[in-house]
Amino acid sequence: MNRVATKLLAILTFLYPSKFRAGLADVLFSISDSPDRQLPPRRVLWMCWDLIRNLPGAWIDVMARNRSDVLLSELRYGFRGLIRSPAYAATAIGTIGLGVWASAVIFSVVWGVVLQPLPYPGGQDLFMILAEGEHPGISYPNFADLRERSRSFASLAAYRAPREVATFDTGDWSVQLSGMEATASLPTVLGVEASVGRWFSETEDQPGGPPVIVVSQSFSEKYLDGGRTPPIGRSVQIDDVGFAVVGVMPADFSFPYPDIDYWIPLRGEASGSERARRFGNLSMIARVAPGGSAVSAGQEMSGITAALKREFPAANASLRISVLSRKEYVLGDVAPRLWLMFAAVILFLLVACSNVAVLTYSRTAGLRVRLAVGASRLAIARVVLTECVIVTALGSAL
Amino acid sequence: MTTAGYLILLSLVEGPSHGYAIMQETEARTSSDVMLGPATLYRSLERLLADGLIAEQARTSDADRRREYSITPAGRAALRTEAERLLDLGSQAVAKGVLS
Repeated sequence: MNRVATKLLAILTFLYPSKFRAGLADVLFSISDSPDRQLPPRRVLWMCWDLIRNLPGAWIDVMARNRSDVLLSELRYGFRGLIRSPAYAATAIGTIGLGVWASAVIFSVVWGVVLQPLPYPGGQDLFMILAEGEHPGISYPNFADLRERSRSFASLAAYRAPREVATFDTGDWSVQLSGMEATASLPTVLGVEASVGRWFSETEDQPGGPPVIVVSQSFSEKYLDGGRTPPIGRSVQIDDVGFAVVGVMPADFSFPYPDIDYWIPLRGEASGSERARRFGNLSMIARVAPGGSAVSAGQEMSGITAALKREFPAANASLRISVLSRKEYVLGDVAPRLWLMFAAVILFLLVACSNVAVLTYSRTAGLRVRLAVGASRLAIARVVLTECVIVTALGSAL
Repeated sequence: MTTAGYLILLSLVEGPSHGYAIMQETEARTSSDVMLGPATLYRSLERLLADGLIAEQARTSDADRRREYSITPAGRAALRTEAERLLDLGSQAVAKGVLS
């Protein structure tokens, strides 16, 4: 190779990590020592390009190798340190474990009750409509009037649990089922569809309508041919009444609470007697109309409630209706106390961490030796950090 | 296995060789379709050494600055496996009419 080419390649080689420089020099020696060492300029340029192209990869190779070596060594040192001080290890791991456990328990409650979104499309637009009067719940005539007069809600649905636990005759034995009576509008409100067949129609949800039933996926799998063939049209006997299956809901659907086996039409009468308007045990859920809000819906509900009180003073004298988000509905006035408890637990975790930090600081003798023999502050920080990571991991695993 | 690794192992089948000889042999064998640059060659040699597919030969004299490499039994086995894989892929292309 000529002198310029050698210089150029040497400069590029110098940019490589030291470990690579020696090896590359070896390859370049083998070129310069070869009999045909006069390389054409184009070839030299190509070799330069090869050196430039591989430069980032070489640095990444070296850094990855160094980092994994250092990490393994620090982990070994951290574990050895903990084994040498079992009292410290047990105290630190136990303290962190207790703090993490308490935080996880409270967070799982907060997540499940408050933060987790509803498992329905547009869950933020769903609101519970709480009706209170002489008894909790609303009558069907009042529900029908609310549904007809409301403009803030795109759709409203009512539902209630049957008065008694239903019994299903499998043919061999009887099982008790958990069912729900609901209006035909429920899937529209929730934004769900049957996975097989359909939900019952408005016609089927009228008084005197045909006895139809929508079953859960688990009910279909357990009692209707293992879910292998679509059970649409099959007849099931519940409390000695025959229902025709019209649909199967998806496996992840269960409303209003888990483990509901079936849904049947509510079949309420909109024009009931004064007594029928007075007593009711229906719950309501609604989807707010596009552009609407809980505030505007609440104002509208207040107006409709006032009108219903004027029109039916004997039945609706004590009727109160409020629009609540799921969080408000589930928590009621418990919400501030739940958040306070969550804050207290986080504070507890911080106290636990600070206790462990004090304990860690009290055992710095070994680190001072490391510092004395030339370890950098970064290396010391790495040792302490690795030990803390081990303690936290073991504490959390508890 | 990378193309560079495969070609290096193939160069060492007939006996130990040094870096520049491997570059030249590869270039001649592939009719200059594949040219291994010094950095590509060295990084590939490092990986093959780490995987135990090649070994570094002891230097015969102090005057000889060049490092020589030889293929190990594990390297021969890996080369054979890779060659069979490539042959199988080629026969699939023939079966599909891509190659005649």
